[in-house]
Amino acid sequence: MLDDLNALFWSSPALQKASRVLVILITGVPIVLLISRITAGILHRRLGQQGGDLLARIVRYAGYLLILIAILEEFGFNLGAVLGAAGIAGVAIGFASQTSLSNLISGLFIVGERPFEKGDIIEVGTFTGTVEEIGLMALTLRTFDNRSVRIPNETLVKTNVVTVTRYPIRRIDLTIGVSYNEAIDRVMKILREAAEDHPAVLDEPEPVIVFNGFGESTLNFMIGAWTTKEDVIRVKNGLPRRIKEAFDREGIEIPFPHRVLTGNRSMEPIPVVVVPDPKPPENGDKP
Amino acid sequence: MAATERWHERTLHDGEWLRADFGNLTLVVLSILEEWRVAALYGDQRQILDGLNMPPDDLPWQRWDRGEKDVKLQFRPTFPDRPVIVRPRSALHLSPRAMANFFVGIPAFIELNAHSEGQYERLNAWPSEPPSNTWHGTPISGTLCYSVKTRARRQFIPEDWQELSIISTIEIANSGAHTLPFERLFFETGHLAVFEHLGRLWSNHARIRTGEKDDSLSGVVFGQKPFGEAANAVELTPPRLGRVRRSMLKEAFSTFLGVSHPHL
Repeated sequence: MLDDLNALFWSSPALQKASRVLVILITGVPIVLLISRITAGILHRRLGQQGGDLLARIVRYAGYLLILIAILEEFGFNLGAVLGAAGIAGVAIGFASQTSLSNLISGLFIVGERPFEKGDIIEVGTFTGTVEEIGLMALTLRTFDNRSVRIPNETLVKTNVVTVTRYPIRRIDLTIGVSYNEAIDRVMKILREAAEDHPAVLDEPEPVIVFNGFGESTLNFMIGAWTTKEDVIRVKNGLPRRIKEAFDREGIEIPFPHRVLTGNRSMEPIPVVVVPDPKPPENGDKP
Repeated sequence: MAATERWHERTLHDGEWLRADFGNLTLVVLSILEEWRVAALYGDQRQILDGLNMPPDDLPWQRWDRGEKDVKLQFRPTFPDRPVIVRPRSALHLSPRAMANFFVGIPAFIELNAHSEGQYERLNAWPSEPPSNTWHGTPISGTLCYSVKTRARRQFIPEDWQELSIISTIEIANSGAHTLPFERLFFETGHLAVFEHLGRLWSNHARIRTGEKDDSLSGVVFGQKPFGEAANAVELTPPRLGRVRRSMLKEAFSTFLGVSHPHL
């Protein structure tokens, strides 16, 4: 029985090819996966989680391509001839895939440069959101109103990208105008106290209070309070409220422009109606 | 010497509640429906409890599940969960080979441990005084710390510190060749235990030696007991990060660097 199978195997070229293909698959796929995993492990430390994953994926795809070529060659495909025949088509495809290639190369630059990581909050053009995935072709951003935005990598390389959460602490700047009747030193003191009293404002670096000059109808101040990136919203919401409360308590006026809206008729002259005196009664007539 | 009553184990049966005051902090604990419910109140918020037989439902409750037979709980003073920044009353310049001892009052956190299925579990810890955050490092990297409002002193003056402040003694020695300006100190409290002596909280003594080889590195040696007459204090809480004899602090005395001022 075994001898029969052995004879059948060695007499059938198709079976031999099939077994070679099987060996290529059984050995090739695990080797590719292993190399991809090792690549990811090495690159995670240098390029971060997302960058390591991306390059590991490229290695994996390249490995699969090599396996495919090896299998095709087993079935007699002459890859050189195929590629030569496909030369003209290749040029056409190359032109057509120019954008894709550009995105791919841009993706590699982003991974190498690491301007942001998965989970960072970034601003790109009119979009602000959390980086969900840095892909081969595009970045996926989840906006705060829970929309998914796909931004091509080429766009990220060409445009200004603000990484909001890059550094652990941030300064929140507010501009405030007060009445000309107020003493500048007193206003600065109240602003400082309002910042220092906020639990999420850091003692160090100290809040920055700057007198920004004389406005049209206000004395202008800038207050810059430092906080951790996790507490930014808390300070943005809480600090103006505390400043307003402190100003109200201390009787400091925040002037605002007054505007009087009038309709067209009210701008016309006030109509004056001359009413004739009632006719005096004639002599002899009795009322 | 035994710990004062506020740190003793307490028993709270189902449907019972207790109020525990720790300086500016009041913790309300209610045992009900196989739950520990705890509310932390500060300052004037505590007036809501006056004259009540049961705490109101609208307190800011935090809840933990417990077993049917779990009735034991215990409060413990602990150090803050972050490093602290300590400042002397005014900058002190330490000459080469000089040393100075400072007393620092660090507001304690109050940790609540309660039985869960017969075993003590840490539920949470609340600051006895709402702490103030500060940053040790540059705007690019650093460590979030708490800022100690009271200044470090050369003498122990009990009235200077609040009831629930942990009095830590720090000896600073300048082993370098240059004068050390001591304006602020980054102090990691994870290796300090909390003790009680005559109703006050103390930590074990710490010695910081700086400038021996590298100005940016300071060696810290932790004593086993508090300083001076508090040496026979009773230990209430072991160190959060374990007991060690030596540790290192990086940039312990550096002031904040790298802040750019706004454009005018």
